[in-house]
Amino acid sequence: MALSRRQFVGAAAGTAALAATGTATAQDEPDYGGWFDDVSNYDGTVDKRGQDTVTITVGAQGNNGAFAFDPPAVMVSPGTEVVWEWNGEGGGHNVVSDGDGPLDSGDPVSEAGTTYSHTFESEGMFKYVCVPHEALGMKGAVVVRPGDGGGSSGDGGSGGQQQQGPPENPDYGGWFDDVSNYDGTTVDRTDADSVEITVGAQGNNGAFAFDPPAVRVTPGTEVTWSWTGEGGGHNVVSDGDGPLNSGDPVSEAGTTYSHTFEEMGVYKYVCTPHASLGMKGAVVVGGPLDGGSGGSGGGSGQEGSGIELSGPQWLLSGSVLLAFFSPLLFAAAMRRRQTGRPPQTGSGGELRRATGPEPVEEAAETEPAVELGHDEYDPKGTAALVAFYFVLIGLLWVFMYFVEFLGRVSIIG
Amino acid sequence: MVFVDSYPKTSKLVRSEFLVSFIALGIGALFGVIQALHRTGVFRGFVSSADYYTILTGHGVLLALVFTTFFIAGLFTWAVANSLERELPQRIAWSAFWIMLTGTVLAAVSIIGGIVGSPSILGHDLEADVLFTFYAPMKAHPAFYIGAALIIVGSWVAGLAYFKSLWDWRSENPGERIPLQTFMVLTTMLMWYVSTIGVAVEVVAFLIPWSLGLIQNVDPLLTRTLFWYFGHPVVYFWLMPAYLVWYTILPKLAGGRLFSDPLARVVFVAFLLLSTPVGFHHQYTDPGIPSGYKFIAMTNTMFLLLPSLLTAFTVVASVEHGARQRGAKGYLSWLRNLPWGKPAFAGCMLAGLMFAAGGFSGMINAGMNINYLIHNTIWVPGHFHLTVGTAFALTAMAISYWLVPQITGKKLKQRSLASVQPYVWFVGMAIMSNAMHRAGLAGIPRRTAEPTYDEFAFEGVAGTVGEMRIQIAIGGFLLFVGAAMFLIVMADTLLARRGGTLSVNSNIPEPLSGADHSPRILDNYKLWTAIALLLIVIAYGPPLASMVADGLFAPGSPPIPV
Repeated sequence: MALSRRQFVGAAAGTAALAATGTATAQDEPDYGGWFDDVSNYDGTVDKRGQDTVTITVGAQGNNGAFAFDPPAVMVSPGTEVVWEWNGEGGGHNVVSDGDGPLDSGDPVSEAGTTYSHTFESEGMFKYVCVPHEALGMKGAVVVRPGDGGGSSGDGGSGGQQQQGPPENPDYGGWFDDVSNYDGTTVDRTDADSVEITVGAQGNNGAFAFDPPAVRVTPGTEVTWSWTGEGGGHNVVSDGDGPLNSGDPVSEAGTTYSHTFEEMGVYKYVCTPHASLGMKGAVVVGGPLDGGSGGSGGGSGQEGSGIELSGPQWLLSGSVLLAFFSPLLFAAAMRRRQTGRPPQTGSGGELRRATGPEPVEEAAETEPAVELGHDEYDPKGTAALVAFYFVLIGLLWVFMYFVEFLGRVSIIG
Repeated sequence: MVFVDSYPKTSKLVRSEFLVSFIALGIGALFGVIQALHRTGVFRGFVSSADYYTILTGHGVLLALVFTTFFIAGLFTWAVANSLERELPQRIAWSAFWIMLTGTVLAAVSIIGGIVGSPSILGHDLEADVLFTFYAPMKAHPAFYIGAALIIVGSWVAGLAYFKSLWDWRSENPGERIPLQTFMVLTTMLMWYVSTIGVAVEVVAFLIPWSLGLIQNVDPLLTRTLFWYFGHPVVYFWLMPAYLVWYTILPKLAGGRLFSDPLARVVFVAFLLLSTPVGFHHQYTDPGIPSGYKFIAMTNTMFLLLPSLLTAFTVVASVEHGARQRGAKGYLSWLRNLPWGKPAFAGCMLAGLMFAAGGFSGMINAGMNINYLIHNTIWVPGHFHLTVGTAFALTAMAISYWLVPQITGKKLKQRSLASVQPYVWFVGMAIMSNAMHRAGLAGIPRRTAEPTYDEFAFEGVAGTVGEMRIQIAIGGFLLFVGAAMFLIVMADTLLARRGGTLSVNSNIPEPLSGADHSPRILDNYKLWTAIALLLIVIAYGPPLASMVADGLFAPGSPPIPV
């Protein structure tokens, strides 16, 4: 399996984020799980708790253009109304929750002065994107937490809750390397009794994704996969031995398949026809899980200390390098052969050395059997070939023109 | 006297240029066979389907830009020195070489970066999965664009060395006609100067600042148009050196003389005039360009058939002259009296034969109505593997068998391998290209790692899709074998001891119809360049003006990550 560049960047950025949390960041900075890695104007969470209304600018400068939310990350108290206000720059934008979520401003609009608001009642982390510019890094998050802006009292409580939970990022051992819509986060749905996963969501260069690709549930949760009808036939089948098997691929929208997970563990699954495109997912049941289960291979990738190559990549890079240096290797081999050979004649070597480079002569010019001058030569053979070529081209044109008629139902019958 | 002894400095330059081009050929051929096996589904273990596009970019850039440009630089360097009988101005020519080499390394490293995980270099991901055509808004690392620009600038400097040689020669030989080989080199270079303006403006004014983040948006249509302003003439930049070989060397290899020197000059002047104002025929499906200008481009393209058909006549007649001088009789039996066992001759002839087929599919591409049948299908790669991939590449390999001994003073090694090699290439290309053309008629797309779709099956007009895939894979593999055979012969020859009697003879006999009979106006570069520019203004002026009228960077697109 190839290490995609997104994965590489993700791993490197993840390391940076880890380092940052380890050293400087205060305890109350929420863990976004890599969500802001590619958001250029993210610089910590703005604490606006205690205010009734909070405004976020849509189309602020950032991400190489007017493709940012400002502030991208904001913390508010429960019951706060958050208003998104369009400044009219950067084309059409919208505000849509990442995965399942309450936010959806509808189709992108570009008019300045447009607003969209939502009142957050429950605690939690609400990630959202501007759909057209998500890939550019136009992403944001609203964190709803009790408190009044000073915030230290509430943090102790939330920190305590965190400790009970499983590790934030289970080690999938490279399973998600080629899954484009996996951003390093396992969506936490341990609060829900039933969880829905979209089959045929946008991702992996088409409608070839599960959304969310990775989800955490508590034992006893019923997980339902729901087909969008896009991207052709899909199915849900466990990787290796496993409980999931929805049968042959189907493409009808509205199809569902559900399974209730009782046993703790990591359940990896694929859509068989599109597994190679990256249509893969995982359900994490319960926690905390044994940290060693994922294997150390993926773990070293997380270090991001250097370029990791898989087997075929080694083969490829090796062949390229070999091809590049093959003339030199060949030279070395030939030189060995030359030096290993005894001198050809007794006197030759010294004599040549004294007179410079070895003399070279060209082959003798071959004289024509018949000398044909300008006036005697009549290119009748060429005329025959040219005529043949024109006939051939004519036939090919006729063939090309009637390919439609020969091979398919044509417009005129 | 052998070339290497007459012009030792220039020989060293030609050797260096050839060496770079051969290395690019080796890597490019490796990337080629990986693709052939991957997209046909025969073996997909080398790279992931996402990295396929990196390999595709590498194949295109290394073969169509690096292998060609360096080989042409070497061939032209030899041709100018040989026909003007003087060493090239060393400082200019060597700086051209180093500029092009720097550009090549930058571009190649940024492409390879995509395979090894796109490490971040200078704040940008090191990758260039933008394909040979590098259309915006797909974006590569700035180093890729800077590298591409340096390759072009280096080729301009190399052209300066050829012109400087002509001016020096002119001051010593006032009033003489320009020797044919030098005339061909300089006409090609003039065409190249005129046509590379487009890509230079695209890269320097738009793509480099854009990839560095200095400007936010570029206009995809404008940059595409500037690319194709260069993108069609570049195929003549590949083809005209092959024509130089076919006109001036091939008749001698056949044992004859060039049929007509003036006709050869007319052909090259026609290419100078008509090569550039045709680029819109690559953009027939692009919106935002009025059909009228596409039609003008089509008309100009069809005119371009004329010099190629003149070439077919002149070259075949010259080869026939060789056969007659060997004592051949009859309408077609003279074809048997030719040195088919000599790799240089056989390679050039097979390349020319393939080019006739490529000319046919080129007419389909250029036809505005029928183009829609095959636009962006694998037919198009099938076409240009016949033209640049055989007419140019096989000619380059074939003439190396004749030229490399002269610039090294070493006998050609592995001669039996060499005499088989052009046939291996020819058979491989015939199998692969034929299947690609038919697959294109069935609608199978180009530039696709896995051209299979759910609930839809391609239907071939002739043959099945499975059979076409196998043929593409087998043909691609044979081509890889052919390239490897060539490189083994070249490596063995380059590393051999110099000395002794070479297998080749460099004498080029006078044409049957010499330059004395041709009008002097043919050598008037100023006139032809002026007319060429005028035709370009007519074909490109109004559409470019309308694209720029709504703002240079509008309607703009920010980079799309690839």
